[in-house]
Amino acid sequence: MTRLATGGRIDRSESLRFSFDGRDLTGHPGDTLASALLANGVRLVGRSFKYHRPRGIWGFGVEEPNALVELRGGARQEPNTRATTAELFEGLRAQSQNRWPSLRFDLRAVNGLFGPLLSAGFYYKTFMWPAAFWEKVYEPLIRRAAGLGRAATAPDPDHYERMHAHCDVLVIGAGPTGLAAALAAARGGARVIVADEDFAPGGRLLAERQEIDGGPAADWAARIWAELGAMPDVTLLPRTTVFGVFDQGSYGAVQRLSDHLPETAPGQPRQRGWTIVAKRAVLAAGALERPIAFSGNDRPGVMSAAAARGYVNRYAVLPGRRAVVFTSGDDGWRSAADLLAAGAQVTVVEARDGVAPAVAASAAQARHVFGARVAGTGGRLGLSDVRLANGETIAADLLAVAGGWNPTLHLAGHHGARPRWDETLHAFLPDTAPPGMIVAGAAMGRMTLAACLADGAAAGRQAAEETGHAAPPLDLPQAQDEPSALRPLFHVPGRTKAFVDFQHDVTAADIELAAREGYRSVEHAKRYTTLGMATDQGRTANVVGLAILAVATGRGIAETGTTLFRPPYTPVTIGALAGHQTGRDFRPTRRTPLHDWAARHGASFVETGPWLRAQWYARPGEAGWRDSVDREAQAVRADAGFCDVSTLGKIEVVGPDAAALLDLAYANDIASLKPGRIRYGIMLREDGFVFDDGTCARLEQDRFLLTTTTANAARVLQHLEYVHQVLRPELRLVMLSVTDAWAQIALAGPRARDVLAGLVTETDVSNTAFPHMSCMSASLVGGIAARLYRLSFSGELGYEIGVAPDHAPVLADLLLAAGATPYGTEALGVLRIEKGHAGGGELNGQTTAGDLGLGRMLSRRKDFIGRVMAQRPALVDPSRPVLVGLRGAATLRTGAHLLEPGAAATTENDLGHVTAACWSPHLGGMIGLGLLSGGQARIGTRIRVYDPLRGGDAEAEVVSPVFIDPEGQRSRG
Amino acid sequence: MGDFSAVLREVRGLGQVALHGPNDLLPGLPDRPGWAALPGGTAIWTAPGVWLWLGEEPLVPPSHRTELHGARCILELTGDGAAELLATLLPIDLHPRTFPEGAAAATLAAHVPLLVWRVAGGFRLACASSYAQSFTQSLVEAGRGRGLVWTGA
Repeated sequence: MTRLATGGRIDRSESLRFSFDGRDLTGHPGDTLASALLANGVRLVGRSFKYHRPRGIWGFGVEEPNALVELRGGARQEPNTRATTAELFEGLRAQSQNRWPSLRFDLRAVNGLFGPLLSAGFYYKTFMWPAAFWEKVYEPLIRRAAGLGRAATAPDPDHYERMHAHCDVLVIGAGPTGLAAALAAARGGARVIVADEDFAPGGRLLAERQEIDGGPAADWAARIWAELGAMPDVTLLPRTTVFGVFDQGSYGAVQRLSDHLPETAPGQPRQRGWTIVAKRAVLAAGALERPIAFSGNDRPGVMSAAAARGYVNRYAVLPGRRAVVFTSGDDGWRSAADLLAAGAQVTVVEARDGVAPAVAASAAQARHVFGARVAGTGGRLGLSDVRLANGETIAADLLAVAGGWNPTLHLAGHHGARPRWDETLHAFLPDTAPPGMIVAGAAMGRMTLAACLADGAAAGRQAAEETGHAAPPLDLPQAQDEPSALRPLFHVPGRTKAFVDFQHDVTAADIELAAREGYRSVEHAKRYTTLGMATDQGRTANVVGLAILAVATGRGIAETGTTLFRPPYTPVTIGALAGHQTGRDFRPTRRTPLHDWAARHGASFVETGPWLRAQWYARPGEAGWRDSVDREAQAVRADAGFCDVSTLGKIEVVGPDAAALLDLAYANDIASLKPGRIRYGIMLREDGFVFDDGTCARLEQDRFLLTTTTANAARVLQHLEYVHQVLRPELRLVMLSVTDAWAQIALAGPRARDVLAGLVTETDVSNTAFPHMSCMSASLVGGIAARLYRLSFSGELGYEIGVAPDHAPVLADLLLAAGATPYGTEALGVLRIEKGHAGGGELNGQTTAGDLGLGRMLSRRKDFIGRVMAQRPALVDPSRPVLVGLRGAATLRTGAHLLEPGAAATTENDLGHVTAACWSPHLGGMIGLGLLSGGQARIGTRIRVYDPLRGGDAEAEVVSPVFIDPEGQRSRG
Repeated sequence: MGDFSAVLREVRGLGQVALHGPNDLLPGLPDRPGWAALPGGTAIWTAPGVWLWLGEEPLVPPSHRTELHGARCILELTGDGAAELLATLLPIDLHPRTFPEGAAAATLAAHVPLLVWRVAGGFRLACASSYAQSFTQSLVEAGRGRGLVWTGA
């Protein structure tokens, strides 16, 4: 055990049992998996990606590239979890990954022997030939050999939630900078949200022995957190990562609500995905320590120096008793001092030739070696000795490496800005930030405590004032600025592998090779070597990698530049983005007022856009859906049937200028329509193609009711609003969607008038009083107010009856009692194909009015939308495919291609396709509609119907698209 | 996010009419996103010159009204947890300073077009009746673990 007897921010009064690779271990509340593993003396945690080298814990938090484990198991198995951020809980089960057969003995480690072969660009060079092998052979092979953890294969049993929040100031990070910023803004009265990745507030303060206001800095953090939490307009989000900066001041964040619990509590979400809209954001994400590339720098026991002292101070874990601190800056000396204070034996290997006396005195009990470099390490599965460039070997079980700090500026770059290299701080700093974002503290290169507090307070105050709050200056807490001199050291050249990107096994030699092979641009070198492309996105690797690239290409770091940062900052579970909207809840469903009635009468439903529509009504004894559909269609042709058409879009256009607007929107004449009459109309798009069709009823002089297809209801209203608001704003009218205000039932068949006559009271529905294409208000039995429309989609004598939604089931019952047969969308489809009416397959956005046989509807007397463009040569080309009927083939399927009989099935010979097909019970065979090139002239000839996708090949006769009652007598009678 | 409660109920029996015309069509009509209690009913601004009227027959000429009978499902969500529950679905800011009593907004929730307005103790919501079942289900789902009571109609 390496747990210290005292200190740390863990609860020693309680023990938590957990297991790693089946070994039972214990830790305490407040531990991460990483600190608990270290406390149990576990140093070997994983195997590397490519070479399967043994790896331990490098970091302290989100930057961890090595200690990736699989958490939990079964459906909740979670691969590639950083042990450094996984909060310990009772019963936690973790497995190492990417090793076989075991972590200590991994056969694939032989990859390491082939290191020279597996260098940069290995895949590109090796798997070039044959090209066809890539997808089927090479890629699966590579994925099996490399890869990381295994994802769960069962569906996720957990539940996720979305949340929207709005604030004046979003503070990202609850370290000293973030807390000072939040306090300054909140005391000024701003609405503040503070998000922090950690489960405890304080950021680096938890990992340091520093003092604020004369007490432990971590206590100050807890105090401020509590003060913030008590303020009404402050929302604190611990365990929350802000992962992306999007447009208009919106930020994506994910809150881990239950990841620290053995299992999600019933009814509670596992994670919550936040969309935060913030007028200002303070990015106080701190900084991460970077490694130094030297031979053998990946051996378990080699650790970030800041992490090493963090384990001591926060978790009371001493990661090594014989420690070597390899540093090129003052910060490494703080790690030396803290390791000494915890009882370790320490050697400081300082790359510089000397340091300030106060710095040296801070670790006086350590052995100091100046002007030195670590050139190698020894040990099989863990560090046993450190070799210096001067030939000295030091026995050690911990090598703490301090290579300087990289500001965590990722979010500042999410709008595409590239950071600039600061020659004084030896770090990249944000140059510009997204609108509304202020970068503060260590993320802005302020690497000392007092400076961070002051910078945070100033940023918080600025943000509050810019959002209209008079924030008083904050009384700054008392703190010191620690020594922070640095002479950057990125690479110690050596003979064996010096790792830059631990997670992707990219070495300094790989980067140098890439530069030699011409990949001088940082973006090319990244892709060639895969530097920074692992799940840690190069958080530790990138700056070291491009410093090496800079040397190899003879340029400075500033000139070499860096790659772009893109969201997400850390991996995000898709569930957190989806929230509740999965499975059936993926999108909402619309139900008609007759939905329950239809379900009671045996309806099967079909999705039509968001709507559920009755597809057919099965009756006892019917063997399959075709029986039901045939019966329903025949009932309409021979007797009377009724169909729920409430889903058709219904728009009322009201006002003195309503007719003028509709005349512009419809291609045919509307203004001449008399009150009480209905006209079938088509609308074109600006480009001259058909947009939608429907009916237009003039209810009163200044009031029209339009119907649209179910699919286009919203688009038609949007289009009409555009026409009104943009093209003709002077017209006095209003448009209202009344789709939900009217349950609409189509009644059709030779007996339809008799049925209707039995429903209405004191209303004459005779042919003279209520002719084809007219409309009126009426009262139905029981006093139900209705609107009656005489029109027909089926080709039979037909009406539509509109009533208030609540009355729809009563009306349906009355129709049923009158002997009418309910029919669904399948029968509706049969009836319309038999009549050759255009439907979804024909109104496909690629057809003109002429193609559909509606060319004569285009008015020559007025202007209308699409008029000019519809005259383009290609749109009036006589060889365009036009609507025809097809019959005589045993099978006809929508989508089948039409070819000259005997012609080869090539694209050049393609003459069109089948747009709709059905079994016609009235004609006793398959019939179809199609768009056929030169179709009018081909009527009476035969055509090949070729369906390679489903194996169909037959001949059909080309006929008129109107199969039934071509003169249209039935609907007028 | 603790154990607070919210109550969801459907408000039935209110007449529904769209009013359209000038802002002085009725005295007291709001001329911007918002709502007003007027004699005989409530007017909610839905677009320039258009209001959703809930209540008794409004006293306006026939050319300035369009029947909506039952086109909207009206829900009421009250209780301390109402705003947070809605925040899981609605993208708009419901803070009492930005969305006080008298405020109304047309927005989207779970892909459903929605009209929302603040009333004493909570919110009223109006969605197309055809979406009612789906949207109510979304609210009930959002209320899981939040102590939501759904009283139905």
